[in-house]
Amino acid sequence: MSASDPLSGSTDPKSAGASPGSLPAPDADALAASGRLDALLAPDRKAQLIKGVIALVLAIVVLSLPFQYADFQLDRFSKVIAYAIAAMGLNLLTGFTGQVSVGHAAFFGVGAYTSAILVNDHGWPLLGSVVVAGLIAMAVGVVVGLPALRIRGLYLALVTLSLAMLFPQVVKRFDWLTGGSEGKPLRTEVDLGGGVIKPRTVRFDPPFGDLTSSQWTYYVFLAIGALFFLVAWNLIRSRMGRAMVAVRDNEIAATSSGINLARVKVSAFGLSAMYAGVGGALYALNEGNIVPDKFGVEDSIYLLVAVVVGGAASLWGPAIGAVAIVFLADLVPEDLQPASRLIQGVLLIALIIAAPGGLTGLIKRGQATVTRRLRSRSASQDTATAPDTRQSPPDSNEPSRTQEETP
Amino acid sequence: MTRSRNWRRSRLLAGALSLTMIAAACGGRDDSGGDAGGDSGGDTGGEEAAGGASIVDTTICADYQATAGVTDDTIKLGTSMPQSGPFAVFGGILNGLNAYFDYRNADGGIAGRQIELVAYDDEYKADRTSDNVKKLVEEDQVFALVSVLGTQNNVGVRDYLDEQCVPSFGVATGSPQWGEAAQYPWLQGGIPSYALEMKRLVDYLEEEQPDAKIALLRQNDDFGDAYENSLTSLTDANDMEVVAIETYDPQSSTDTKAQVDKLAQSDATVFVNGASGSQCPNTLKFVPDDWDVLTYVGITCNSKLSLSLAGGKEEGIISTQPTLDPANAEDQKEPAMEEFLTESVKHGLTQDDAELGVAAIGWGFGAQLAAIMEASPELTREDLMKTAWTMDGEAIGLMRPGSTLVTDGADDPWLLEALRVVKRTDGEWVEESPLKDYNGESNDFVG
Repeated sequence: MSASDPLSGSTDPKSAGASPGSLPAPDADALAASGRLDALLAPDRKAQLIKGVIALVLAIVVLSLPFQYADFQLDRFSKVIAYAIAAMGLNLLTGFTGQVSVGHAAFFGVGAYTSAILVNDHGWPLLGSVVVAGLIAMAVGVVVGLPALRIRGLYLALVTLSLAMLFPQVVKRFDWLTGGSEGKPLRTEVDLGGGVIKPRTVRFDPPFGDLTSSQWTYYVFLAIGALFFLVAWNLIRSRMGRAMVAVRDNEIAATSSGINLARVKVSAFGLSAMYAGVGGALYALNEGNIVPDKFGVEDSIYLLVAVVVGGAASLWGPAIGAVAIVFLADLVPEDLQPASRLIQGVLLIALIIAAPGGLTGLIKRGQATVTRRLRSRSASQDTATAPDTRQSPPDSNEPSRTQEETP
Repeated sequence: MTRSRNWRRSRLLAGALSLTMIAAACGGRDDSGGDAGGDSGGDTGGEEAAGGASIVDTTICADYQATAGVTDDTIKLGTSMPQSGPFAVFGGILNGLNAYFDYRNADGGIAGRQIELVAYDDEYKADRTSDNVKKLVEEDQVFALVSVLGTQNNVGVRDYLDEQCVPSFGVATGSPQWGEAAQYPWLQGGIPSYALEMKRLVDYLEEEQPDAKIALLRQNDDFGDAYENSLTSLTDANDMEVVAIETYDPQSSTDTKAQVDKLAQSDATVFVNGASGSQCPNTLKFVPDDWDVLTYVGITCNSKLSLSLAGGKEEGIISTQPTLDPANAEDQKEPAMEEFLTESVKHGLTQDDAELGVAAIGWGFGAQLAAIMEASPELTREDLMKTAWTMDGEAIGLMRPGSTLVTDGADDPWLLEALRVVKRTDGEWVEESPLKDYNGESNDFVG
């Protein structure tokens, strides 16, 4: 989050003018020698603990949502998860590999239509259709990734933009397969008793217990989302992940370090499209009806917004951004609905100004502040007992502020 | 070496791109007609013939709640329509609905109860409509929906409504799919079927131009399918002929000039302008002056508001009208229209809103629903729907005097089935051919 540091530094009144009386930072050797290192590390453990507690509370909240909200709200939460998986995929490509895609709604759409066609027309099991949707989207992603070998930056953005513009048109052309502009339902024939057989929207029915299908859908989506999160988490810590970041930061340096540029870019495109495809399939299964215009430029931009709002190159970011996609419009009061778009736009601009690193950037900054407070408090306690080590250790991330904040 | 690899790559890229282009270009709509309107006509006869009400069966509902949203003094209704975004102009319908319910509430309410209308914005996006409708049903617990707008949007929620057994009235599109009442008995169309519009046009041309050659500009959606299918099947049986058809995408940002130019090359004598929204008046501007043609615009395009965007090129065109026209001097003298013009401005509309025509549609939907609620023996969802499928009365609200309000379940699911033909003369619609009632026949012209 180095980009956000200068800004936060300058808005911090304490750091505006470096206090002339501030002492030079002691180096780590000196601290270790002083035998106070353990005591100074304690705040870090405390911060770790706080982090753990927050994560636990979040997990409990996320897991208990189905028992606190009505089914229609749960359907929207499930939609958030579907978008989050797609945004996670876009983040792997844009945030980590540095390849901008303004066409990810097309991959999302490929997944959605694959799932809809398999389930509605061929009676496939729901989860089976998700797997195939992911694979087909991946194949499309690899094909689209090929131009990315030759072009970059704005030009790549334009190529992917045209993909987003084309996709709804292609879907409308093949209306015998896709249902055309009216949309494609996901239905099965259900025997309602008394000899009445009617098509009903497909849904995930719980195999046991008395959860509603909306509650169960949410848990299924949550499990799939967690799985894909873990895969991404492991991936960016792997050799492949480092290669992706290297390609983003400097292609020439990456190549000269022996990274196969073509392989990394195409894999990133394929992988990213697979995430989008799976997200799209879940979206379709949750909505029960999809329309082609849902998968055009506008929604591609929404996915980018999710990545940026959440925080690019952060694993949690897209999930938070996906919440924004679904609920941003709800923030606008009913009386102001005619100006809904304008207000959403203003909110976004305000957010980008307040938090250039996205919401995760904001959270990290908050975290850093808390850690700093804890440290300076323990440091001032130390001052009372050990006057020669009044200063907290230099933080490798934020050396200047740690120093200036110390009394 | 490097060059040849680059060459291969760029060929691959070119190949991949051109494949996508080809995919976009071919395809075609050959099979499109079959699925949409096919099952609405014939197969509804047998078991449902006993009476229109029998199509309503609450035993198969997921969780039937007979009187949700109704208390001793209030009835809660819900709607979802665009109030922002490119289709925000249709939000005027909501103003009309609000004005109508406000007017009735001040006068003691409907069925002795005050009406409360909950409205959400969906920007004309089907997925948001679906979110809104679920919220209206599950959280706001509305008794019924009114005037949900858009074919995609209604198709997207009708399965859900059918499962939950929640009535939806005054569906604000004319898709022939609303004729599938046997399949979807909880949803009733609020304006005439697009297919019926074509029937009225062809009947008019029968008198004026029995050998008309017709050029059609259509949208690449259900609305376009409806116009094309009914027009081609209606002209099969007579001396008329559809000589040219051009399609455009209402969601794209390009205009219809190229399509109109092509149509003008044909020897057509009648031009059916099947565009909607602001593209419809825009299309009128593109009709070349040397194309000697009689132009028709649809019901969704003939309001004063819409034609004010045609830049004077609307003179001499024809259209059809199922309802009174708030901008027409003759119609303004009708009692129902007088009531609308005087009362609506007392209850929230401006004089302009009232005359531009969009709000009048909402007022009409409000009156339709009020009539159904008042005729319902009890205020349960089942009785309401059964009443709606067995209407047998005269014109209500802003329907043209002389038309009937008759339904009979799957055999006759349409409320508005009487149309007159009008011609734009000196900035006003003037009757060309009188009101003709096709009661019970709307499903026959789907094609």
